[in-house]
Amino acid sequence: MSGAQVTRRARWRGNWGLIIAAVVLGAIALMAVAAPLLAPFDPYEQILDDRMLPPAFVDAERASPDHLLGTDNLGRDYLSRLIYGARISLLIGFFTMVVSGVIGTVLGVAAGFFGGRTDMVVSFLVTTRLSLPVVMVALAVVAVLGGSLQVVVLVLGLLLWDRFAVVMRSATMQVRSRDYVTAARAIGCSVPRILWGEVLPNVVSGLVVIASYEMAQAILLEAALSFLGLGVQPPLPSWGLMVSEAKEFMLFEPWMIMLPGAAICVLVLAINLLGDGIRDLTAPEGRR
Amino acid sequence: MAVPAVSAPLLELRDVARTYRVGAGLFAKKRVLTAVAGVSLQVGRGEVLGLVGESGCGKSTLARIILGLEAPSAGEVFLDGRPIGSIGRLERGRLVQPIFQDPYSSLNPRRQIASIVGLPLDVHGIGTAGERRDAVAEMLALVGLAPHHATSFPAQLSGRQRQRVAIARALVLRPALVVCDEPTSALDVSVQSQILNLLMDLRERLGLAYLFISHNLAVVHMLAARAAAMYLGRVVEQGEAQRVLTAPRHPYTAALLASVLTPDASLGLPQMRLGTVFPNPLALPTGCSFHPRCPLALERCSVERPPLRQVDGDGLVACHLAQ
Repeated sequence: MSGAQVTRRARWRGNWGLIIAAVVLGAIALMAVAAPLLAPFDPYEQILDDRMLPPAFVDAERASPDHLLGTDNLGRDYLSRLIYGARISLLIGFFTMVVSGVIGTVLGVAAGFFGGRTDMVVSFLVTTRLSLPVVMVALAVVAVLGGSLQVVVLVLGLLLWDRFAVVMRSATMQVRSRDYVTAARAIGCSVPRILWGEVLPNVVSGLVVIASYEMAQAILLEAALSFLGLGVQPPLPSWGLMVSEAKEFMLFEPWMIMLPGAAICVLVLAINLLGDGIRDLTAPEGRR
Repeated sequence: MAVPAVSAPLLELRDVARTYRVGAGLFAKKRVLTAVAGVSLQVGRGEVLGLVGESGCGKSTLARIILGLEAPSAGEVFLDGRPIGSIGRLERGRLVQPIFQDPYSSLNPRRQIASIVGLPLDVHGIGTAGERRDAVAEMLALVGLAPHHATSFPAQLSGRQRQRVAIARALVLRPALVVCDEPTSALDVSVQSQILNLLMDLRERLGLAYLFISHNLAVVHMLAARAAAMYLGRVVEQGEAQRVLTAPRHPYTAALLASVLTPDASLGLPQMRLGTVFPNPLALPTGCSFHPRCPLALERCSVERPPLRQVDGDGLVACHLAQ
């Protein structure tokens, strides 16, 4: 027992990618949760007299000491909007991952375990899904139903399950032929019990990596949709929306587009690093 | 529940066959692979039957059929005098349990040993949680594992310890029959005898019957009272283990016996005179399925399949030449 703990701690130690990712993600998550406490201003409050004040590190003369990261074109505090924007990105990323993860895992495990006709149907669904361009479909659906947080989560969740299904299917096919599954059947275990007790615990390690990848993907897609004006609707402070709003001033106030852009970039990078790190940490073979 | 007739053997196979339809490609016709081609066997209570044969002769398919994991395409399987299809999966689990070849794939790597051995009790709802824990501890002691192994994961155990865990899991329900599918061939030679001794010891203590599948004739000789040799899905010889494995009457059994390597290097590699034709279960030979490789084959052998017949009091042989 202690041997396993020691190696686990040792694996943490050298894994700088994982440590950095965990710290960054933790900070962003904390920021999102404690947004009302951390944000110096109301993110929706417009002070039209203080429009487009740059942050101090861009232009110290025009900068206001109250607005650390300046204000946007409607005079809203940029730092507060960035902090509240973390909520939108994380919410969309997390719930999209949950929706797509549940759909993909159920389909993939069913296809891999039962094979035959089930497998054919699921493979057909995956092929169908892969033939749909995600951004186009999301745009069309959001244009019809109207953009809101729930719609974006549902649409992305229903579009991003394919990778879960493919990976879970092949992992399950491998596990299905193991003798411990045969042993469970010989004991008289019911099929749900075999799936839950024997198959799932042995395929989830692959899930972590895809989950992190899909979460990052969902965050990027939300930003893209919001940028195109079909995602989260203003005045909600979404990072994608902020990029979109800032693009008109890109040539004059480039910091306006760079700040939310950097935020998206850091978040996505951290999530991907975390996924890789967790896979290294939990793989029973101790892959490194 | 009907009381089974006293005379009914624990396991009885009647002309059991299993064929698979295999596709060779999208447009190719499906072909029929014959894994088991009509096997009749009996195992009585407390008896050990050794089943020998080379890889691909259908031993493991037969094991899966007996465990109820696969239905035979033809023939009947009786457990305890009842057709296997009429026995519920839980009750079947209490009658017959498997021990597998590879102890690395037979234990769920995400479960602790106590959970692996306790799973059968859990599924069958036997006893309270405390009683189950005691039963698991008792079972671990019985197979020679230390109490602290209960909280280990399979990755922390050696191959020999893992096989002991697999044995504990198979026996914790106190089945009447254990199907051992090459339980020692994945282990080091030095460890094999330990596991075999354990199996024999447990058989005596718990009154188990074994169907012992192996390609290792020495192991079968040591364990089994009766032995059967399989070739391409058929039993070609069956009888008292001592007789089958010392004075075989079927040329295939004789070749199997001759193929055993001896530690005496001066004897060289064994000569089996089996030729280089390998059996193809997709296209079974006509007549005696062994005739393309048989050093004694006559013309008759390629036309007429020899029936499994009683020869000389003890034992059954499927060969025209056997006296």
